[in-house]
Amino acid sequence: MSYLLESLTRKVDVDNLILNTIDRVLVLRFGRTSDVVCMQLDEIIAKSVRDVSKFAAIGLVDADAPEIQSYIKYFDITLIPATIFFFNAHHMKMDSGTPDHTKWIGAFHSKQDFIDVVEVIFRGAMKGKLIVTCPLPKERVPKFELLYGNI
Amino acid sequence: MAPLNFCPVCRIHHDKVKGHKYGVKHKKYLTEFLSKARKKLQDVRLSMKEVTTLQDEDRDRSKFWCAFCEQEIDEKKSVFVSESTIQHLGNPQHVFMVKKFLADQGAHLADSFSYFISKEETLQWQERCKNLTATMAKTSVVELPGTNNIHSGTSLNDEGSSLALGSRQSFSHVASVHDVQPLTVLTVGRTQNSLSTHNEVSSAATETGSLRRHSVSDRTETLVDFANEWAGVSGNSVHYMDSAKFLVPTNFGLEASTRKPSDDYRPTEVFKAWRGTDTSHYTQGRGVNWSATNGAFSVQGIMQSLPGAAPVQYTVMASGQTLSKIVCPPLLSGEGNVHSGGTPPWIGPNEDKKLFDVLNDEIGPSIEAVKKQSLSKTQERKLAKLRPPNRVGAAWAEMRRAQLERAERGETLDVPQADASWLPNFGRVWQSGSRHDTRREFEAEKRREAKRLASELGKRTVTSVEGPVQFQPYVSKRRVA
Repeated sequence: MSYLLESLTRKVDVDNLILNTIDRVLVLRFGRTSDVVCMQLDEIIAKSVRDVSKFAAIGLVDADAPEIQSYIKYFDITLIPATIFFFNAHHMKMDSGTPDHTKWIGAFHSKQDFIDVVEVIFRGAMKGKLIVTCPLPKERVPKFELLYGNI
Repeated sequence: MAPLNFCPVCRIHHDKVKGHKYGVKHKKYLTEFLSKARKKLQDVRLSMKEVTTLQDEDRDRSKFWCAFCEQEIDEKKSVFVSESTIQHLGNPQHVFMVKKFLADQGAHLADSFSYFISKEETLQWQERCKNLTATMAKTSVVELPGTNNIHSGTSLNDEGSSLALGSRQSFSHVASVHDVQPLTVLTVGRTQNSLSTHNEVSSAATETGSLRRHSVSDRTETLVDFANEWAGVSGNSVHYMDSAKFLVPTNFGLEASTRKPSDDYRPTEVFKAWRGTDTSHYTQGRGVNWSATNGAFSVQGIMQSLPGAAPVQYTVMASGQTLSKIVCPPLLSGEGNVHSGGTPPWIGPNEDKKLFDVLNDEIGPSIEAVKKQSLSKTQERKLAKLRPPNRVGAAWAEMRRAQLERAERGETLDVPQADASWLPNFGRVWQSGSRHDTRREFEAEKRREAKRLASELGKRTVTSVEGPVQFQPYVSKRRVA
């Protein structure tokens, strides 16, 4: 379960995690430990931590912490759980057919789906691509809708 | 049949009259030829700058081949090194030949100055020669009778000299009366004064003999008194070790009275005290001996620092006409100084081993360090796969890795951390354009929010930012309706 990874509550910790992960994909999950979907995602992540450890690092961030609100605003997180991918402190986008390419919203169907997504991001990053295409079929991508207003 | 011409540069015969000098090979050989000539002239110019007399041994060997005039110049009649050569190279005839050669071979005439010597240079050289002859005339070396030294003008060819080749002389014959004898008399502190003052001194020397048996503590005062009396100097400070024992050179005091008046000794202003255990020349005794002559004297104390230690020489007293004196700190028993070859003060206690322990330690990096730096080909290939240079954030990754390594090695105190306002690179959701704008926009929005809040708090009125917000559902452009 998610007892393997602790939820980060301070901005400093999140910054350090981003800065110290070199040449590996960093998966940052923004969510709440009490939320059901978050719990589902956390379980999948906990099971796959070791499998992806060679090319990925994972961090769980508590979306309710006061210091994290600046990040919530910056990343424009409105739905949780929201998973954001980084590589060498650069944000990686993934086009999965959803309105938001900057993050993955919701949980994964299986552990393998998560590993596939992380792998695709890693391969794309190694090639120098900042945006990759999601390998999962549309049925397994959680759907959501966004409304945007002109700023 | 066309007449054959010989090209001295290429050293071939050809049937072309003028066209040969434009050939590629000819130009190549010409550049080589001229560079050689230039080099030769540079050597001659060097000997012009530093004028020296030509030695007999070198006379037969020094010859100069002038390639332009095609003649050899020998130095049989010259007094100075390369004299005849310089005279030839300054000759107007040679200048003419140089220019003719360059024109015939197709070279630039503008460079001709590097193949002959100008009039000004010749005049300067002649002046230097005059100066040299003048200085040589002034400094005449006084030869002591019967000496066989390098100044006496004996050479290998002189039949009478022991250096002559073929002279069969055994070592016992060589060490004859006429040869140089080893020094038996101290030369430090003697002056070139007349015999009368010497006689005064000789009587004083016998007086000092009576002081030999005194203890060290008494010695210091008497020493200073003597110093003042003989040197006419006041306020000298003489340092001695209280626990030191003095070894007295018996020869020197007596020899002061027995030395010949014809001996010439140059005055020295620094007097040295010796510490040593050279018992072959000195006898055991307490006290300092003098060889005081003519107002300048040498104060010699021989001190035994440690049993088996190297003799340590240090200055007891020094005087000069216009020089001011300083107090030199006394040398302790374990220390050395510049004369004895002690450790310099700028080398720390641990550095000494590092610098001078060459035999035990290897100089340079160890094998492991070198291996770390240099990677094998397989390792390099692996790394190339693991870290392709065109991966996302490659430059940042290398920089960060280097920073972390440095912090690990301990070169830097702490790893550079992000400050509170740091935000990572992020491409926004509804953003078009560069990612660098994201942060800027975010910061701008933050500032606007803060301003709005501040103004709202001040005004206490709720102002609507814009009109009613228009919400639109997001429709993907890729989906087929």
